[in-house]
Amino acid sequence: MHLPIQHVFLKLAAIIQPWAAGLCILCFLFGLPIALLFSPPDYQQGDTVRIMYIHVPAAWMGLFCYGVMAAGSASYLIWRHPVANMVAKASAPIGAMFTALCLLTGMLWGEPMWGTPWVWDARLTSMLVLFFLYLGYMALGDAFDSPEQGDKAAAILALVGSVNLPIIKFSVDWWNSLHQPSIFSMAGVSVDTAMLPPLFLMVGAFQLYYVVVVLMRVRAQVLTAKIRAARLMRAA
Amino acid sequence: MNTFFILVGRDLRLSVRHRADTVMVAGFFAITVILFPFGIGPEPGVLERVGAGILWVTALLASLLSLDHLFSDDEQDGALDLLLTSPAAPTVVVAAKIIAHWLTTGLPLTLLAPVLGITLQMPSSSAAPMMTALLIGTPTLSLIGAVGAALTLGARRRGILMPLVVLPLYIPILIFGVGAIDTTGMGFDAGGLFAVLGGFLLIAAALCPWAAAAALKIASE
Amino acid sequence: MTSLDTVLDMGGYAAFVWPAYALAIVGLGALFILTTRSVKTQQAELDRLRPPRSEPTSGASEAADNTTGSGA
Repeated sequence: MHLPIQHVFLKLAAIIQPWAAGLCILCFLFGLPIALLFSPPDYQQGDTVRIMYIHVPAAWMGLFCYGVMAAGSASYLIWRHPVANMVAKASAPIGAMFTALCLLTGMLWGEPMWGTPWVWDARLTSMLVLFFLYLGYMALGDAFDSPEQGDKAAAILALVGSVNLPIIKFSVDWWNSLHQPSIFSMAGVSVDTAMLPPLFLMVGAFQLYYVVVVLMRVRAQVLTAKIRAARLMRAA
Repeated sequence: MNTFFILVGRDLRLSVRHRADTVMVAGFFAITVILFPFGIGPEPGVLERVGAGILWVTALLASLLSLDHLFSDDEQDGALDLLLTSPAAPTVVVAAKIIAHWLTTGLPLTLLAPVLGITLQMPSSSAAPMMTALLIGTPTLSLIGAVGAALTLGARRRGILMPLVVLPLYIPILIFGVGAIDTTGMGFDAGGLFAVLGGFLLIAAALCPWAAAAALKIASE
Repeated sequence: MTSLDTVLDMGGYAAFVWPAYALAIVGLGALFILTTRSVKTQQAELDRLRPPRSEPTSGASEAADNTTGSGA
């Protein structure tokens, strides 16, 4: 019964993928030079503000991927939609990579601004917890002998995490305000209108990169399932 | 409702028979707290300042440690399958096990905490807020932990998987648990923070038994 | 100071700005390469197990496809 859905999905993916890849390269081709060279430095932070064009889109992608993961997991658990689960599973490593990128660029930004690479800034702390949620999801999915059990357990964990994420954010914000609030917050950059084009181009580039990679990862999962089925056929 | 109490009674009787488990969790809690003065140094000001944090972090770890057995004992001897196929709703079974777990771990930790607080040179006035915070917070730990224990049932390398899955979800309770004790210690009214802890408990009580039951269903398939 | 130098210097923050972009390229690139490689190896493995036939809807591959992903 699931065969047509998967095939329709793969066919659609084959159409979308080259377009997304092309647009992604275009976004990078325009975005990177503008971000690095042609956008103005911030009047307070100088050229370090250029890190923002990686840091902020990466933070957005970290959250976006978790959203896709939670939505995919929910539709997998409710409607038993195998493709939804594949998209959820495919999104996790991408989201983890973007979250890690956000943390590392945050440290590189923090070093000149705070004088130290790590400050328990509310946003950075929340992203750190998000990174561990991704690790837990991926580890749980891989920990079972039966792939289906791993898929379902991980899907429930994704939903539990999505309920918890706003609570974690709220808690960390409160905790951060209790202790000395950092003078410089990474979201506190007064965004000049000249900074918007490179920011949007980089968000677009990352988003399109996600589309390309997630479709490939779903294809890989379909292939894995086919291999498993073929092995069973041989063994039978 | 009757089934619920029968199940709680069954788990309590089992844990009385295996009281080593409860004793070991309390022992783990005590020995780990006592490690900190050796690691940090015995200066009174320092220990007093970090005492609430030490007690809470150690309580999280002790709770986590005890969760290993929450479902796995019953799974190994087949009782879990019987319970899940019994006419009682799976959520009721899970809720009963969570209550029993809290009575045998969270409650002893709560009672033990003020004594350990003394060794951390915390003022005696901190005993009441500490116990209140733990009393409201530790049931939430049992609830969230039960979801983690159910999800990892039958998983490989469960011992390292459980902390990775459960500990990030514990962070809000840690933050507000410590915050409530410290705020009271500084002489402010922490009623709002206890209310937040209570709110977490209500949310967890509404959602966790349901999620844990769903996870157990998958594990037993 | 040539214009290239000013670009490379990043107003004195070269040690922070360039590594940030380098990390982005490394991270995105590594995940992309890992993904393409896994698709290729999986495809090769599948072709090895199930040599492609002239008619794709032959009985064996159809039956194999039907169990795909349903997990049953």
